[in-house]
Amino acid sequence: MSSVLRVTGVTQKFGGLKALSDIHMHIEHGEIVGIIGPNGAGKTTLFNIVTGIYTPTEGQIELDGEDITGMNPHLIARRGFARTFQNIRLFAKLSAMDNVIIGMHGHTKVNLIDAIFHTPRKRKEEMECNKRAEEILKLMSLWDDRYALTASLPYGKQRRLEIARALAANPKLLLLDEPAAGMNEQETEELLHMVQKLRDIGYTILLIEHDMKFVMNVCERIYVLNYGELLAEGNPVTVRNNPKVIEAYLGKEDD
Amino acid sequence: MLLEQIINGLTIGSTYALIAIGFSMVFGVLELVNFANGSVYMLGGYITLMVYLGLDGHFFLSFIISIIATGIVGFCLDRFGLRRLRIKKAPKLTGLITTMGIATVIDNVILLFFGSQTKPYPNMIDFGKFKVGNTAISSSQLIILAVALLLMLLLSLVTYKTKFGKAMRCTAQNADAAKLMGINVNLTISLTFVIASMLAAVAGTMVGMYYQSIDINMGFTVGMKTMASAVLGGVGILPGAMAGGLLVGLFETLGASYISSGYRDAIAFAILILVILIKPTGLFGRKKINKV
Amino acid sequence: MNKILNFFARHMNKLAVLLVVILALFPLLFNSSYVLRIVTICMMYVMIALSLNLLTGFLGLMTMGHAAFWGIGAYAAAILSTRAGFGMGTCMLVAAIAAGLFSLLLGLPTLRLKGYYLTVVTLGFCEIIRLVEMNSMELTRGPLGIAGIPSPNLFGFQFNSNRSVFYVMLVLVVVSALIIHSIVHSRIGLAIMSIREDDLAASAMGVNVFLYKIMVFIISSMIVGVAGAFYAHYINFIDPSSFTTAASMDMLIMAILGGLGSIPGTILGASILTILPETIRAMAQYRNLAYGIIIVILMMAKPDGILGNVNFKYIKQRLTLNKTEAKVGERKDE
Repeated sequence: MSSVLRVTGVTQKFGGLKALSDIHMHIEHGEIVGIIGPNGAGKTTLFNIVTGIYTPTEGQIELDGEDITGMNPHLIARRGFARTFQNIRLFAKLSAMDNVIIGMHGHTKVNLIDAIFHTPRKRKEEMECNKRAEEILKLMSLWDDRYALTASLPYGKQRRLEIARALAANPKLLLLDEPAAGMNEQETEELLHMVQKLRDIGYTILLIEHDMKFVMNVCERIYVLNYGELLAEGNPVTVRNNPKVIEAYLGKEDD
Repeated sequence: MLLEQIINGLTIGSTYALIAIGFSMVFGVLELVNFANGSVYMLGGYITLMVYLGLDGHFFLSFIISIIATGIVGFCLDRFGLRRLRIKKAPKLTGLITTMGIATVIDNVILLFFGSQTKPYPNMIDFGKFKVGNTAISSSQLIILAVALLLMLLLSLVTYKTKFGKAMRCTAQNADAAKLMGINVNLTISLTFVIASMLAAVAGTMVGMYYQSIDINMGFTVGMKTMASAVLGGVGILPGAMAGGLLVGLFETLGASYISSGYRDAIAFAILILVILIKPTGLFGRKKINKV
Repeated sequence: MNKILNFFARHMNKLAVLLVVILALFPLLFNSSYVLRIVTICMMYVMIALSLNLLTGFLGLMTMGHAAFWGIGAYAAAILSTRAGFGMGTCMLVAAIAAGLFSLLLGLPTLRLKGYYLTVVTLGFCEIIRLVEMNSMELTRGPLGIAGIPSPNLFGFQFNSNRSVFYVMLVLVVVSALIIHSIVHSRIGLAIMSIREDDLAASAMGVNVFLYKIMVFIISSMIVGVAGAFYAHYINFIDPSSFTTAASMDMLIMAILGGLGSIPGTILGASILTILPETIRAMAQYRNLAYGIIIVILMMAKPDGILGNVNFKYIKQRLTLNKTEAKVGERKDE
């Protein structure tokens, strides 16, 4: 069985700036993998390449064995990627429920004619979408807020809603960009349990995070990026004790 | 003959450039498409005429009064109109529609005051024609070109070398950060409107003198053309507006005399569409990197 | 205020039907040709504003070329009916197709552009189309315009009276409103609005942003094209001076005043802006000035438009939620 995600030799240049150099990565089914690294290391750039927002200067991205390098973001989304964003990008003037329903867009078949004429096919699909939205909102403890405008929700709930929206597409790979950003201890703890629950349900998750405690406790494998290069890879213990990683984060020890 | 047409084109183009610069500056600090710019241009021309007729002479004084008056109009437009909308955090579209409404108000006030007939305009800078080689160039053209050039240089100086110019550029890039740095953003924006209005008034008076007439349709047509000029040069960018205005003036004049005059007013837009299709950010525009 | 909005939210569908019924009975109660004409024109502008609202309010694209497609539809109908003698039905069909084709041609290169660039380019398009209409003597008879356009005729029926034409327009506006309403309240509508909110996130959710933009552009142009065909048959004469960028701006103002992204709002806004100027007919010369002042005041007072921030669907959903919670609360008390 092929890896859910395989990144081979990806290099990304923005003009003269080399954001990523020769990145190799693979994610297997059912794993929770983390990407860490100092700010500017290229983590979000990697996400953007994998989800099709940028086309890599060199290299290849494969999803479930299929080469998706340089594909349009919406086509990649339809093939089973779903993501959250570093700065929350919810649809502000829409309700929580509607946000989740849009998350399913890539997997719905209804077209314009169906919409205009209220065909039975449209009504059936709408019912199914509503049902799935209900499942997900309840899973993320947002059911009571389903008709609230996202702009009116507190920060923690907005983050959860973004994840809910990503789940709506039943993704093969869920990409979370700094899901714990701006959260306090308790919220981070809840998020941790939530991510673990998602893995137990069967989702494969790739996440970027700065919160070390979170990453070490939830990820099975970790990649460390620094200045666009892959610095280390391994399980939490290995990575934590890797001298190069320590140096990157804490600076070189004075001799 | 061709050279004369080029001079014609550059002359009118330099007035477009002045108006386009003002439009571009306002867009730069506010990301607002100011539909009232054309009306203010026309207003400037009319006020000069009105004061001149009222004072029975003293053209230069009338000119100065008009510039000050239009500056005040521009200030009020922002201070009492658009600033309110900013405070209310209104969507950008609302500001745009408001400027449309203000344009209608200004146009109709002028209509009510002056009537719809074309009015004759005194040409105070007519000192005859000069011959440079085989080409004839009038004094009006020379003076307009000189004034426009001077103003463009002055503006570049202000924008890039003064504290106010820096405040403008900072506000254009990130108004919130500018506020935190102690820049009085609201005042900067209002002053930008004042400058834009004054530039428009200068252009309005000069064009009136050049064609020796003024009519109430000037505002709308030129407003649209200078909007196109600013955008094709790269909206929000000073040299872009200058280049855009000059290009439009040039091609309009050449096109009208060599191709067809019926499509004259469309030439500005045709150039715009062509440029945008090739370089979507305009001639001098830089691609904004979308941080995800 | 909230109580009024809640009432409307709960009974929106019934109220809409009631409105249509009232309009249907209108010509039977009022015989004044002046009043009938005003309401007919009002309905046409409602149709135009609704089509623009789909593009600007729901999709979020601000275009200034809408009057051009109105004109293309009008000229298509005028040319076909005066030169080839086709009936209104065929003319409207061709008008829709012509408007749709032009919007496709305009849209393909320009819909990739950012907000204000699109605005100015469509402004230019409108002006260019008008000048083409002005300068093509053989096709459009230039500034002379096309006169003698027959009144609406369908399958042999001639709609000559003010009353019958009123009903033609009523059918058109109701059908347009139904189409737009169905689109907006489906998942396609959600996708459209998601593009307005954040097109990057929308594409990350699987929405083919460019395709949707083209699709909505074409639909809105086709609807306004049909309105143009009606206009030609109604006024019996068209010339390029009706299809200016100023007209595009008026249409935009109508769509925005009532509230972008709100169908009831657009209907309200377009109606107000068509009927209000008629009430100050007395001071004809101050009409335009008053129009400008009204716009400025209304925009400053209600920056999101009259019903801009009101989402009746959400209000209704929240009301039903509160009702069920109250019921559950009652049961618990028992």
